[in-house]
Amino acid sequence: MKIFSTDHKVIGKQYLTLAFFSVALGIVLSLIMRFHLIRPDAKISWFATLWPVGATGGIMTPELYLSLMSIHGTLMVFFVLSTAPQGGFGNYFLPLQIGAPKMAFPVLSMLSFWTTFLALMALLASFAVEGGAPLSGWTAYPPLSALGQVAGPGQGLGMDCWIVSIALFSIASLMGAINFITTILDMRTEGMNLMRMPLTCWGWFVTAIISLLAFGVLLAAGILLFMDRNLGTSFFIPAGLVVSDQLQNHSGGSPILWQHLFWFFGHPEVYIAILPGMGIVSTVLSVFARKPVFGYRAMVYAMFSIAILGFFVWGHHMFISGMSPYSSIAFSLITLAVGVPSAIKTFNWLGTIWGGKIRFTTSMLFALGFVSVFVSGGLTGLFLGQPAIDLYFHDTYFVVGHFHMIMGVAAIFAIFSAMYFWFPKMYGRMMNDNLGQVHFYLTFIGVYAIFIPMHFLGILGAPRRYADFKELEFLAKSGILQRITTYSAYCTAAAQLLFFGSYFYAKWRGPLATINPWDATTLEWTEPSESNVVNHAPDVYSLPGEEKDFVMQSDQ
Amino acid sequence: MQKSKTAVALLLIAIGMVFASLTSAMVVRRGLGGDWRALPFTALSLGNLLILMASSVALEFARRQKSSGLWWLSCCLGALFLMMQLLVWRDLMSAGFNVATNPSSSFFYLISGLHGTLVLGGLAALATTRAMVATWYWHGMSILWMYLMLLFQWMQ
Ligand code: HEM
Ligand SMILES: [Cu+2]
Repeated sequence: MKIFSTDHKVIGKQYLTLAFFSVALGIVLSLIMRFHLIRPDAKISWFATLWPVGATGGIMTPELYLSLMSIHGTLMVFFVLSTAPQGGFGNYFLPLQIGAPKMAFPVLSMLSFWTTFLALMALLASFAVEGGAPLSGWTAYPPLSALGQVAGPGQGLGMDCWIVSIALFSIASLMGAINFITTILDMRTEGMNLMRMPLTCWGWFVTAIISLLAFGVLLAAGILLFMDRNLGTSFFIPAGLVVSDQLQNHSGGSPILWQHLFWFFGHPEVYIAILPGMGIVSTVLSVFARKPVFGYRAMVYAMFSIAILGFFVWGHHMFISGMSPYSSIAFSLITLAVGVPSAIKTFNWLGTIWGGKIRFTTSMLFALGFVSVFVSGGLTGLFLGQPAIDLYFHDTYFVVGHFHMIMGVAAIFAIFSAMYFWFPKMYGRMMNDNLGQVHFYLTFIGVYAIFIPMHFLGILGAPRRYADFKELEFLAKSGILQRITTYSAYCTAAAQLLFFGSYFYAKWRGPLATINPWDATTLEWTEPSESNVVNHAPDVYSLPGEEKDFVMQSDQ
Repeated sequence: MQKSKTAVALLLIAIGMVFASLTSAMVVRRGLGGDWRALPFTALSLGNLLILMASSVALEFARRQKSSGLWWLSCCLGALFLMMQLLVWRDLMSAGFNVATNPSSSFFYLISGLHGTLVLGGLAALATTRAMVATWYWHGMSILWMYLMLLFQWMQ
């Protein structure tokens, strides 16, 4: 296999490998954080080996905790959720599903993967540089992120690494977006008109449009932050700021400006993470319920309205940053309006499985799990979307619970669903379904056990991004919630070993797959030699009176 | 080719978003307080805008008449534009405006620097291909600079 390959399948697998590596590392970091939260005073000798400064004598400093948290968040949001569903499955399956021989610009695909790879390296390098990894989370709020070393060890070179990483990632995503949109617009096979595309393709398409419009904003913001740090400008740093007892030599900037720029990107970013998953889930539900997607067109329009509305709600992350109450109300109304297309999608998923002859494969279970966690996470969004309630919940564990449910877990479930679904196509072998079922139920129960207690912690007022709660008297009785969360996290992480084991076993030893093991209809399941002229919608199932219960898109 | 037309149009949109964000940042930053100072633009920067526009016009004629000479003239004008931008920077510096002197100059160096880099990329494209889309990109950069100059005038 060529390393610098321009084959979209190879690139798809490269993206997936990068995402698997990142998710594994991200999980390890989160386990260390969870451990620290229940045993803040523990002395662990290998902490001292790994982080001689951050954990002198084996006791973790709050700074080290924050840097683990920041890298965890950045890895998960960018290098897992924005990478696997789009760069990974998208590159691999988009051309197959629309009957194109390859992506529109194979070299660009290669470049965007390797730029993403460099971005990951830049991020990981932050662990190795002086001062260690940055402390300001995946949102990198100034002024502390803009000042350098004086704001904390990781705010020195580590923060510069973060900015470089994010800038590279943005450029890679822009290249990917251009490639995806062009492929979809100009490379569809004969008969594959837009409204015959599988919803997966719509998911990738809408995601690419959002990326195209959003990542440039992050790039610009990153450059401004970099200049504040290294060239002495004052975009984000106000006058008279004293940090670590030192007066900062800047004047006139505003940290709120960063928040506007960041969240103008940041909210669309959460849809970049979830929309490909929505597409995958829509397809998987229909395949295993043996029914057409309920309201295909409504699904497409709902995706577009989510994308459009998503650009006008960024203020809901800033209710507490001090905005005019009139703007709050506007942002709040638009935010709650996003609930409408989200609900349309949810009802259509339910409509799709309603009355179907459901085949409970692992892939199907994860798709159903997606709907479940998406609803659970969406409901808490309705709380947070109201300024009066959000003023209390902001920056508490309630928000952490909300976004892990709706973004983290939902998108991961979609990735699992896709992995179990497409594995036979990718490797020509089948994954073990019994193992998969166990993996699903453990994970499903596990994630609820991890994230539901976080909501309670948030209601009690536990602030997020804190390394240690033992000084906070009002949380004295909440230790049990912390412990439930941590132990559930251990178990759920352990359950993922099942997946990795099953994955590698199947890859090398699994039973050989037939060409279309799920009786699916889309083009990737046809023999490569068959013509791929499209004559049908992507989801024709269970026609009355027919022997075979599905019609492939390329059938006569 | 349809593909490259789509791609260049998308690229221009992406670039547009970068400058749209910088515009909004500039408007907000200027509104924050009284520290915004006007930049001493000279006739040089106006002349330079004209050079870039002339380059675009030359390119358009080159494309329509398939004239290699005009094509190279356009490239030369483009290169001249870049060199003159450096002179604009030198003038600003000698007037005491460095990157960190004032937010107005910070934005100017950043924006003209980014734009210059994109123009440099465009020059490379013009030198290697005669594709129609290269001219689109080049016109995009001219229009962008026209807009940016207006923006800087308005932000004085
Ligand atoms: C009806 C739907 C939704 C509503 C009303 C909603 C509302 C909100 C609000 C108001 C916040 C800010 C809370 C605060 O910081 O105080 C928030 C945070 C967040 N939401 Fe949602 N949300 C919705 C759906 C989603 C979806 C679909 C995703 C991702 C796929 C998502 C991901 C996030 C993330 C990542 C954050 C936290 C960002 C951070 O501060 O680090 N939300 N949500
Ligand atoms: Cu949001």
